[in-house]
Amino acid sequence: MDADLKAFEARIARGELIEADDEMPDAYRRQCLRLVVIHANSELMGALPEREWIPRAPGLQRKLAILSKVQDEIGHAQMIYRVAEDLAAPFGTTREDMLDDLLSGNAKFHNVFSYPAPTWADVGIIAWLVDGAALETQGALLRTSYAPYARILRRICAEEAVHLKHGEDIVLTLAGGTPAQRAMLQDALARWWRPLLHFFGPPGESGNKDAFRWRIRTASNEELRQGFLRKYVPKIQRLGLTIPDPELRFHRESGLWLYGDPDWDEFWRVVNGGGLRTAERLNLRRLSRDEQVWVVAAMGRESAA
Amino acid sequence: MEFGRGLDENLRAVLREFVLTLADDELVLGHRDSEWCAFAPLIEEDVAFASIAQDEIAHAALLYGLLEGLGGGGPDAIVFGRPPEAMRNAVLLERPNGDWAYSVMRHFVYDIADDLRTGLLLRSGETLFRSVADRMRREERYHLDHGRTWLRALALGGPEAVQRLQHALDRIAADAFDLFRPLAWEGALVRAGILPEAPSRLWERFIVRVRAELSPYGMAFTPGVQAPRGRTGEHLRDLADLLQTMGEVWRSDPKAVW
Amino acid sequence: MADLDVYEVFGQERPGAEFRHAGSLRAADAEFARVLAQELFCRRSEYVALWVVPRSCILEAPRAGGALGPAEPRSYRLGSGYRGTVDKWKLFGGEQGGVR
Repeated sequence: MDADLKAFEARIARGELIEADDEMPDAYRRQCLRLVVIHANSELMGALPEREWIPRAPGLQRKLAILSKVQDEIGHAQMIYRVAEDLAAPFGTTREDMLDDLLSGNAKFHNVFSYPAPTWADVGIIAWLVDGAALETQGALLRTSYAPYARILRRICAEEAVHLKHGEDIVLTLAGGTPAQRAMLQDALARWWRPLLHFFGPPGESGNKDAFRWRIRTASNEELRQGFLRKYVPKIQRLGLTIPDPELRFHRESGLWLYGDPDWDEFWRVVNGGGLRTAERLNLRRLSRDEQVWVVAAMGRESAA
Repeated sequence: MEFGRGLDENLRAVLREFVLTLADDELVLGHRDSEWCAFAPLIEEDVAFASIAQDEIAHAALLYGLLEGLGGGGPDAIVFGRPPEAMRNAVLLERPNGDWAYSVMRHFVYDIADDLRTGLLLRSGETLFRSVADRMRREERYHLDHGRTWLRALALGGPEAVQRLQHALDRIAADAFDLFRPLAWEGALVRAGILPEAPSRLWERFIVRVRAELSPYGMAFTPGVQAPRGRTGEHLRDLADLLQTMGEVWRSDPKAVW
Repeated sequence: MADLDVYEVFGQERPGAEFRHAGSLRAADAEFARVLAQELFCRRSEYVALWVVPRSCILEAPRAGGALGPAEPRSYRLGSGYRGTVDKWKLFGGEQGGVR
């Protein structure tokens, strides 16, 4: 281990935070960048399943709320790509490179954004449970050692908390609504349950050890999943909805929720680009980028003049 | 304070018709704007344009809210329960989004029209009109600023941008008269002291304002009067499709709470 | 004095915190501004880091007529806009929350 790395790790061990302009080992920079870009890509791709429901929202207030929620997700992508751009600058990588990477299918984003959202109940389940899951991981990241990321995460978490309420309100309304509305909700929950367990990643797969040693990440996949189950399983049960996992039960001695094998092969298939809607959604983004090339070129000209 | 209190039945019907022209314009444009969400040319622009869309939809909700006192149900029933021929928006606003030049310029030209129209409402004899107009205008100022910035960027943005911009302006000009076409009921609102003058009288001022914005860039705006007639319910197939999509969930059970 | 420029100073009170506006100063150039800012704003160790920005580089984004943002707060953008969920939960009995 060279002297610089030793000194850097001593800073991390003292609980110090790293700013964009600080000296940092390339390996740390790369680890941070990897995590941050996956997060940014996920916010951007996460807008797509929900945006399909902006034109269809049943009610003006619902329409405003879902539009503002998708807007927030795009806003999160904006803030996170900005953090990523600063991290990537020494490597000569730009936001455009990152987006090209995403659109060519070479970059990862969260599994949940590859699934279809065929009903209005999906909007509720996504905003309540997918955002709930995201808040679990993002809340843990507030303690990350990379300060610019931690700062924007504070705002992101505050906004996600509002999304959660918006989702909870839709879910409660459908759960307390007509039999057809309840059935639609139950169906959406059944479809989303496995992707939600997948969201946190496989247990024991703690990722790169460096990410924990450098405090880029602070909680393991399983810790985050258990946090999610602890919060949401009782609420889902209180609504009288059925979680599609006969093995799901609370284990008093360990304080953990035990769950059936959620088919990790499907998880790997999805995160490696084989999700049901992955190709279609990437294609939609590619088309939109290609149609906007002339606009982006026009904006540059004006400031260059 | 009840909107339209003390007015006779005829006048209330006329007032309702007028509010629908305002509210339907805002709703349909806000809906079209929202279709850009996640696909605007730049991530930063996406966030800004989604706020503009929300402003328009929120203004529509505010205006539909006024109608509750005039009968016809709450905003959602008015929005989701009407067939296309009952819609009073200008056809300009229901056209599909087209390219970015068309979308931002349509919005900008509409904002100029809206600025004149809300200016009229500020001088209304109806207190509620004055306060709604004041609230709308606080947000519309930003819309004008935003539109002007894009006009500049596109006008100075090289041959392709200029060509697309002029094409957009030509298409907008062909539809524009629908915004201010004289309507049979206008006179009644003026005589009742609800409006200081007929909205159709704003047409000439509107053209002057639009041309003043375009003149630094040598862009032309030559509206015709053969425009479509959305105000009397003659709409394109595009509006029927829009309403079909918009009401898809709500109409699956109009009595349910959503 | 005439050709001294104004610089705005933003300070960070502790590592990882947001930079907040601390004040401003006049200086002959950016180097002076940086050096002077330290003594002007940190002589009691108020900040762990400073950003010094030429005022001419700061663009304001005003919305005429008052605050930025919509004319009034949009309830659906705030947690307080969803207080109704408290009553809606009551339909489903029992206490909501974690496992006991």
